[in-house]
Formats: sequence, structure tokens, C-alpha cells
Amino acid sequence: MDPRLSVLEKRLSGVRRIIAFASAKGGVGKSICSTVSALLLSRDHRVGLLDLDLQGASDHLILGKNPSLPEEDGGIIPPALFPNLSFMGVSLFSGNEPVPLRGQDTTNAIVELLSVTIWKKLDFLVIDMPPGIGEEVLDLIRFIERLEYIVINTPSPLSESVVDRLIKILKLSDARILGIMENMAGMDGSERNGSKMLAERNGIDFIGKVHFIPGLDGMVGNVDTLLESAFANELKIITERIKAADL
Amino acid sequence: MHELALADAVIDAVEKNLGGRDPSSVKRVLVMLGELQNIDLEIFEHGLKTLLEGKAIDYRVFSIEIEEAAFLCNNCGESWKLSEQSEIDEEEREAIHFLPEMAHVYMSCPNCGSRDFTLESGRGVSIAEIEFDMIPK
Ligand SMILES: Nc1ncnc2c1ncn2[C@@H]1O[C@H](COP(=O)(O)OP(=O)(O)OP(=O)(O)O)[C@@H](O)[C@H]1O
Ligand SMILES: [Mg+2]
Ligand SMILES: [Zn+2]
Repeated sequence: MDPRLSVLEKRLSGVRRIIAFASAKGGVGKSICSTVSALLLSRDHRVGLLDLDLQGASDHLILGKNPSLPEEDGGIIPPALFPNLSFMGVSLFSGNEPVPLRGQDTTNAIVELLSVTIWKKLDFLVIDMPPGIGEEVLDLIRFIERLEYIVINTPSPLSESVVDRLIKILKLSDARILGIMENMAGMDGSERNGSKMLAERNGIDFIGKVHFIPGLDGMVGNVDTLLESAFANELKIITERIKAADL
Repeated sequence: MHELALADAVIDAVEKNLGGRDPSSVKRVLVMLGELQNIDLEIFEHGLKTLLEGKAIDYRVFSIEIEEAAFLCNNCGESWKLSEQSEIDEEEREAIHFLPEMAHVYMSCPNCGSRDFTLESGRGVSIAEIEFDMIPK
């Protein structure tokens, strides 16, 4: 018997809302949207950021932090990387080394992280999901029923199709979808409304879009610049909607 | 010490698996500690004792055994034990203590060097058995 499973809810009991940025499609901006959203939310809320992309951990790079082993105190304490923003992710243990994991290892690592991390009282726990519909998505569906999903799509028919499949899985498992957001809007030179239609087709909310911002990559690692960018400005409308969706 | 979080999980799991019996009827709980995670036995036991204070489950019902860690390479088929693994430094050990899957970051197959291996046993904390007194409820 795996004793860790029995404490997962208890470990998250001090967290008011848990928001996952997911997509199934790779490279659509899950990491940068979740990380900058966590920063924006931390301006007036207590926020935790969980990088659940074990194989492609990136949030520490966006935050410009060199990961180091966390402290222990009755569990593992997520380091407060910024005022009101504590962080947990595999990068704290592996730095920028490759983390080659097969299925059961991934589930084990997720369960371990969730069962030994001692989050302080949080208003929001923001989760950055990896691409795909693998262990991370399936395990979160299994373990955290009250999780709220933001599904990210880009203006691309390929993205739309793959994202549509994630939505199917989420709906099949009665997961709460806060809404679809579009990232990199206008990147193909046109203002498609594919994300809006995708939302309508699935009967879920469209919660806004963020345009493709040239030069965004150059701001990665510099939190002050990121927060002053047009990217953060547009994303803020979405984080305000996340706050307002509070039930 | 994060041993406490694991001890807490073990107690929680026992309490959730009483199947309607009285907590005082728990006669024996066999806890396996995987060698790989390198849990401090004394701190873990102390954690159990502290967390069980004021509860109907006696800490003396807990038996703890260490489970040997065994690996199997997915690349070349080699199997090996933790004791046969080449030395790793203190910080790497600590990372594996926190998160045993970090073995795939800091350890490799002694035969072919691959990090693609399966941990066959001895990962972390598990409950092998819970025994109850047969007295009627
Ligand atoms: N709105 C945007 N404007 C410009 N560049 C962007 C925008 N959103 C994301 N990017 C860039 O796109 C790339 C992918 O972003 P990111 O790593 O956040 O995606 P992801 O969905 O997390 O990827 P993965 O699936 O690998 O986890 C990054 O280089 C990022 O800076
Ligand atoms: Mg990512
Ligand atoms: Zn090998």
C-alpha cells in the first residue's frame, strides 16, 4: 500500500484554489503563461508555483533563479523565490540536468512532490503542465478533483485539434475547465477566432487572448522586464478573470 | 526533517484502512523503507511516536524493515544493487533522499552507463501489511 496517497488532500488543504495551465500541445506558452500569471497573482495574493513538467522544467529559467536543494521542516519547504511566491519543482533537485523518466517514475515523482511538500496557506497554487495527455494530466485528474484548468491554444489548426483532444479527456473526467485562452494571437498575421470557436464548440468559456509579443524570449529570466511587458499586461486581464471566477 | 511528512502519511494510511475497526485493534503494521530514499530510521520512528501521541494506535505495533534497492537496466539488461552503484556525492544523495526518481539523474547502469533503468525494489515508504486483533468490535 502506498501511504503517500492518503495525505495528498491534506497537504493541499491550506490552498484555496489550484489552477493548472494545460494544453496537450507543446510549445504554446504553458510555462511562460503559468509563471507570469503566478507572479501577477502574487502581487496581492499568496501564491505557489508548481512546475510539473518534470522532463522539461522551465519555470526556474523564466524566473531567473538558480535552483538549489530546498529546506526540510516536517516535510519539504518550497523556497519563497519572490515575496508571496513559493516554488516547487523537480529543478530544485536536478538543476538543469536531464531527467529521463518512464511512466511509473513520473507518477512516483508527482506523488512524492505532492505528499511531502508543505505549502503555507495559499490563495492560489498555479501548476505548469507538460505537453501531452500522459501521467501528469491523468494523475492530476485522479488526485486533485477540485483543480481548475486553463487550457491554452494558439491560432493554429494543429494546436486546435490537439487541444480539442485534451478538452475531451478533461470533460470525460468531469474536470473543471475555467476556460480556453489563446496565446500568440496574431502570430500568423491574421486575427483568427479559432480559440473562441473551440470554446463555443465545447461549451466552455473563452477567457481572453495574449498576442504574440516579439522579443519576449529576450525577457526570459528577468522578472521585472517580464512584468512590465505587453505580454504581462495582456495576461493580467486573464488573471483578473481567474480571480473573478472564484466560487 | 521530511521523515515526519512520511511518518504522517503512514499513520494517515493506517487510519484510513481500519475498515470500521477500532484503532486500538491494530496489532501490527509492517512498514518498508526503501534503501534508495535513505530515510533516517531514528527520525522516522521518532516521528511515528510523536504523531501517535494521544491516539489509540500504539507506536509499538509498527515494525520497520529496510528494503534493498535493486535496479534493472532497460538498455542492456544488467541488474545491480545499490551497494554496487558507484559513489555519488552528498548533495546528489540528498536530492535522491528528497525525490528517489532523481536516481535517474545521478546514477547510471554500471555496465553501459545508461540512465534508462527500472528501480525494481527499494524506492521509498510503503505499507506491506496491517494486522488486527481478532476481538469482535
Ligand atoms: N505571447 C508570446 N509571444 C512571443 N513569444 C511567446 C509567447 N508565448 C510564448 N512564447 C515563446 O514561445 C516559446 C514556448 O513557450 P513555453 O516554453 O512557455 O511553452 P510551453 O507550452 O511551456 O512548452 P512545452 O510544451 O515545451 O512545455 C518560448 O520561447 C516563449 O518565450
Ligand atoms: Mg513548458
Ligand atoms: Zn545498461
